[in-house]
Amino acid sequence: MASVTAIERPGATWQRLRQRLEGETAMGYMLVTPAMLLILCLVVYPFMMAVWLSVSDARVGNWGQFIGFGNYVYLFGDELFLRSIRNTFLFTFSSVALKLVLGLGLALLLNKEFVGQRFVRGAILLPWVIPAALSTIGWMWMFDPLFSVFNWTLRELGLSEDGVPWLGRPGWAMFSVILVNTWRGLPFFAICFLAGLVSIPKELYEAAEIDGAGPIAKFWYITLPMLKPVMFIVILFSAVLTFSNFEIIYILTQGGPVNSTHVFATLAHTVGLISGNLGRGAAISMFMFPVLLLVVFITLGVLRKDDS
Amino acid sequence: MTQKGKSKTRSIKLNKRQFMGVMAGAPAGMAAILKSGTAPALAAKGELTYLGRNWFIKEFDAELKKQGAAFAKKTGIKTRIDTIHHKEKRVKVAAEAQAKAGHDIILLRGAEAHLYQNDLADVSDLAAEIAKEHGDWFGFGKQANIVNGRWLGIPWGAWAFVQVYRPDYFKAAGAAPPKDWREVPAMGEKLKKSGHPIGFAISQTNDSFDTLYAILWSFGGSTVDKNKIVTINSPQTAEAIELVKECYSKGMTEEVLAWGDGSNNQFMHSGKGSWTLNPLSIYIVAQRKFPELAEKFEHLPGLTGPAGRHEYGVVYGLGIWKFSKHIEAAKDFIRFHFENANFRAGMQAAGGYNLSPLPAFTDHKVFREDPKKMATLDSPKYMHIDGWPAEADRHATEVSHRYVVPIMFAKAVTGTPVKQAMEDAERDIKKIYAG
Repeated sequence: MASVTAIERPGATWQRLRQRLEGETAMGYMLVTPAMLLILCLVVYPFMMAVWLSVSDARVGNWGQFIGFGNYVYLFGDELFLRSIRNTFLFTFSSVALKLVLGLGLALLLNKEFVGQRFVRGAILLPWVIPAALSTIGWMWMFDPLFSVFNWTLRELGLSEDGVPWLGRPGWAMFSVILVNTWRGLPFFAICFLAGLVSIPKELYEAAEIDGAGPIAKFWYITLPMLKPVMFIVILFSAVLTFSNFEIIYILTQGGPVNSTHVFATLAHTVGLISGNLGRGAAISMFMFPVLLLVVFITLGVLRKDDS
Repeated sequence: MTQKGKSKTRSIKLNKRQFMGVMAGAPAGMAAILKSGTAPALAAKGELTYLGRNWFIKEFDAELKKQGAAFAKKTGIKTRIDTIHHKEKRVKVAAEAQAKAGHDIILLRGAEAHLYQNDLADVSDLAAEIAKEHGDWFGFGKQANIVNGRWLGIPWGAWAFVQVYRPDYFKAAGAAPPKDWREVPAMGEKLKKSGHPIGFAISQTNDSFDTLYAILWSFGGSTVDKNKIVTINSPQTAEAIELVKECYSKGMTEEVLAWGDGSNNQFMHSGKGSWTLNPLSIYIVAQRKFPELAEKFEHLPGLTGPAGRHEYGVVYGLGIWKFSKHIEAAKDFIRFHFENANFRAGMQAAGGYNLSPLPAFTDHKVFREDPKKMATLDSPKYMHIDGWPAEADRHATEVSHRYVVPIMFAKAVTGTPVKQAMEDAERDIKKIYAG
């Protein structure tokens, strides 16, 4: 109070305003303002811009005219887009399912006591920690049609004369991008599941053993139900990130061969930025939004139901 | 304690006011950016900036930067040369066109002058001035850079896709290098049997259309005719596809379906490949890194077909953004770059990899001193760009950027009936031209 009186006041109005600004309510608003501004600038503004672009015939360098749902109608008649929808779902479901099963297995193994357990737990995070672009380039070399270390191994073992066309055939290319995505996301699943496993009270297992439960019954009736909340959150995050994944497919296949690995993000990039059709590119990316929103609602709904 | 507490109180009040100031200033700054409709300029005030790609011949990047420094010294205009990966450059150029901010000079590939015609400054005066000094431009430069009668880019160079082969492998296999595309399958068969297959990319990469357009055109096929009517579904295209199928099945291995732009370089450098089509980079890189291997390479000009010899020109130009604040300085830099000594120094640094857009520079000693490089010199006469025989435009560029032609060939060689592959391509091209 003494400090307030010590400062020169130009007028009563200014003093009232200042007192109000220095109050807790105003301060609260001001503290959240930077975050809100960031969200407005980096999320809301680009999102609204994408919505506008998707209903316009904008091209690079030209904001275009409003054309209603023209881009969306066009896309539903575009075979490549329809294929990209199938690819996106295949890529997401396969990767998330593999990460779920393998991640759970890995977490169960890491939950056992063994020599070097702490080192292995740390090392297992490496694929997740390395920047995606960097590790994907590593995979690109391993899949290289000429110098593939996998093909070299297959040839040396006499299992294949020509090796596998990892990125040259549609089926193998899709397998390869799913494999890399699984490799990269697996540590996240494993570590989250491990955290969940560690928090399950040991008494539950002891009680089950007294009741004569075997390993499968303990896993089915204790481990899985106790891990369910963690599982849903991890699946939610992974599904969202995998569904909108760009760098793995862009670096490894660029949507090829014969457009067989294009997903929403890579197709939107090709159509919107490379070909300059911003409106149509934005419309492609907008298709991700309702799907991702649905994933979030379903998962959070299940979690709420579980809580109640 | 009182003193300490007082100080603390004042400190908090002061921070709060500073904080309020920032909070008032940030939206104001953002509002100013939004109102102006342009992103804040990236370059420092008064700095001339150039955006190009990283070249396979790294020495050229260094030479260009050297020329940027020399220009800055001569004129007092600070000059910055930025080079990035060529695929990222396409995205960066698009982003700059949209933001109406960025570099002053940009490297244009293919028909990008047509794609960005609304944002490129008219440089007709500069094109005429350079032509007056050095003689007229090659046709490929005009195709790529003249848009509606105005020069929107200065032709800068081209890569010729010539035959690169290993005479020692050919001799061992009893094969002779071809002059006509129709000789390639039989030649490839012999070489593949000898353990050294031939190869060119049939994948979603730039090198694919560099070779596959040449084959398509040499057989009389095209994506569109002069009037931009879609003509891809034709007997000539079918013949071209059949040839590529034969080349693939008899002379290549499956790996070409996954090749990137550098893959045929590795194919030849590894000692596995016997023949491919590429600019001089395979040879020049070998000269600088593996001199003994370089001795084993030879070049021959591009191939002819039933409809004559046609080549796809990987052409480059220099454009100046209309929204640049340094248009005149940018023209001065291009003028400086095209000075006889400077342009020749660039060609020397690139080892002849970049062909000149001006016939006047084709007498460069880099070719005279090494006969192996001479095979590229007559390519400019046969070069066309995207959309030929029609005038290049954004639709033609989109057809290339979406790899419609390579995908058509890739489908056919992997089992899709030729008719189906052509119909798919026809549908895609029609949609692009209608858009």
